[in-house]
Amino acid sequence: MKRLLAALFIIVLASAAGRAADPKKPPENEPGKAFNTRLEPKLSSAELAYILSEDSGGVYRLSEDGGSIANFSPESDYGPVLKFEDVATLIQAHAEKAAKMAKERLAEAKRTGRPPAFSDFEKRMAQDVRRTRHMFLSPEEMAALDEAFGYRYGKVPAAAPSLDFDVAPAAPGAVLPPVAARPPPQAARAAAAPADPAARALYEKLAANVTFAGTPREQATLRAMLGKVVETESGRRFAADFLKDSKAGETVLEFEDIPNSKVIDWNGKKIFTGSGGHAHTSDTPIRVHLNRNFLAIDDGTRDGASTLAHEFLGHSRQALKARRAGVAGAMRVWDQDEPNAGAVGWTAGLEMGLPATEGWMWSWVGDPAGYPQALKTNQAYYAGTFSRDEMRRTKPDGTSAVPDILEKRLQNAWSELKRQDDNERSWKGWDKAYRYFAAQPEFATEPERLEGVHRRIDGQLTGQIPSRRGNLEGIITYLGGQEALDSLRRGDAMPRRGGLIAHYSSPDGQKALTGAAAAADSELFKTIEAENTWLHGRLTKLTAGRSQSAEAPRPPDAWLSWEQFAKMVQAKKAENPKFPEGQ
Amino acid sequence: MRSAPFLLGLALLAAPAGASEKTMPSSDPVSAAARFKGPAGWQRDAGSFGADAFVTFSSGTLRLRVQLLGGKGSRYATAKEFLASPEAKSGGKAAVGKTTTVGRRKFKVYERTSEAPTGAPGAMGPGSSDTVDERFAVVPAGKTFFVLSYSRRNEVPAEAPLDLGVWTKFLASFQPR
Repeated sequence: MKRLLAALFIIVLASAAGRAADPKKPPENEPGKAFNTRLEPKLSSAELAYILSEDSGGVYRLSEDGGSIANFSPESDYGPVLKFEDVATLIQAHAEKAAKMAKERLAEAKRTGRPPAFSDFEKRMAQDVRRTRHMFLSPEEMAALDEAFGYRYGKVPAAAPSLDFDVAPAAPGAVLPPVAARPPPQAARAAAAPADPAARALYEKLAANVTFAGTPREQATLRAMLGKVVETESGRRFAADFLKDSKAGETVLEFEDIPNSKVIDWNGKKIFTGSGGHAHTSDTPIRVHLNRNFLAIDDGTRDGASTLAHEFLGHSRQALKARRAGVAGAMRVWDQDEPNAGAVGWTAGLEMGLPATEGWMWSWVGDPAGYPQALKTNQAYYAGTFSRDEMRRTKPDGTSAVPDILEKRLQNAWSELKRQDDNERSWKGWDKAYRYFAAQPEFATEPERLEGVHRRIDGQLTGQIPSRRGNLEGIITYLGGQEALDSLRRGDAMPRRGGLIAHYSSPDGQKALTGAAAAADSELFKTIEAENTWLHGRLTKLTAGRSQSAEAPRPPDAWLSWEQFAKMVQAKKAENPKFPEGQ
Repeated sequence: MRSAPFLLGLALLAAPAGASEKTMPSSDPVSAAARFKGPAGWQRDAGSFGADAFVTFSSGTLRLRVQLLGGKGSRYATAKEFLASPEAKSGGKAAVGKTTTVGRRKFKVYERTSEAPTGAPGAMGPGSSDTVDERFAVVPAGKTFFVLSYSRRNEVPAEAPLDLGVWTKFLASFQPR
């Protein structure tokens, strides 16, 4: 009976999700018949991994074609295929297990006073259960999942477009269907060519001009992204500009596995961390690489379209123009190339309806003059880029001032590197204060109230400060070579310099800078500056009446704000000036 | 984000076809239009965004800046446009100005806070940022106008208020030519 009820629950869910009203509704499993993994409701990878693992209490294996699940329990007749209601029971058991895990972790967190810890996979699995299998859960179990995982941010998000988690761990001995054999949900959903005739004509020309690389699914997604770009006003503007003087085959679009990138759950939505992509502008043809994780996230086609606009209609378009103008090398070291590409991508993104939450966009809109300077102290690559003024600047002897400019940047990076020690001490003080309050009865029973504070402090001490140190060391070694960093650490009176400073001090480097100084006055550079002014105006209009904080995910209401926490610390310091030391 | 074939890029940094071999002199339209003095020991830089030139003085997380806006091709034709722009807003709202007297002169000084991202540009996912405290003043100069600003990027939660001594001295030194 339980099995039948479970199966009926799933049917009710499928109808509630609107599939029943869809004239093109996909074929569904039916009670009493063998469960087909390719029909609705599809199993998530987490559910499949559970069923195929020992945790499920049985010995189940996928058929060779991955379409059905067979029962290989010794007490069975070795091989009967599971029916829909059998699988529904297992889905229910999996959902209950997720709720149990959440309850146990919460209880442990309350006992220890530390926030509950979950792996990314556990979070995604549990949130998927909460979103799609809630009919199997009691109110108490749902409340446990809500408390443990992200739904404190607000309403339960809409059903995910796919239950397909490609990164779920495989159960020992399981035969997981190969990813390539699965249907391509995003590519299939996304119609590549835009409906608007003008945009469609532009799309066809662009699609004929570039080369799409990768699997059929990847190519289809890239085409869909390109279609989204030319559906935007700015996308059409820059696509037309690209087509003015480009030749077929000069650009390849493809996906790439980018290191240090992973898919995570963020407020009930699958997103990824790490770089969105790169444009390899020195290659012939130019290769635009988008992060392959765009294929695995929610709304990946639209998010990826914005990045495609950045890399393709930003960097690649300008790099090809720079080649034709004979200023390709100068373009690569000009500090307005990155803001230009950034603004092309942000503008297309806002025009296609993406939220205005990108921090660097707000930074550029709110301070375009300061933006390049911020980049130069942020990443090694940008520390070696120059304004037009810097490219032209000379010393009294007539040689380029660039080596001196870079030496100042190196010294600034060194000062900032030393300042990280002070920052770390300061944040450790805040961490002590946090630990003091977390141990107080008021918060020990409700540790989630300090969760936001804990995340901010922990993010600084384990993420931001180590990462900043690494970036600053990278800037120093890029500008002055490893010998510069070693020499600064030793406190040498006669510091040694390699890297870019040595290069630009050499005859070859000075000759290159003469070329850069001339390029700074080229028509192309002036055109791009005018384009940046236009983009700034366009983004100003698109962001009018909006703010970054208003569109960013709101923290849970239960969390104390940083300001509230700071006031608590201030009050405690008024009582005991030595707080938080000695607590 | 652009890929970083640094040395290859450098090797290709050759004189463009038809370009003059003569090195262009550095120009600084802001210094030509106004007198001002930055604090001793601070790093001075000059640059432009489009048609709008600026000079900055920086030291650690502190920055003083003079921008000359409103000229031909400027992103803001008038000071009013600037004051309605994101560059003068704080949390999406227009900054509020208070009249400050420096010597015998009066400046309307605006307060603003903004966020400075700390991650790599082009990175996906939730990012981190530092809060920036800023004071700025708008000084008309014929059809153009100057925007003077003083800011601090807070790498740690601000424990001390912004030291306005440097800012006041800077304002006192400023005089359109």
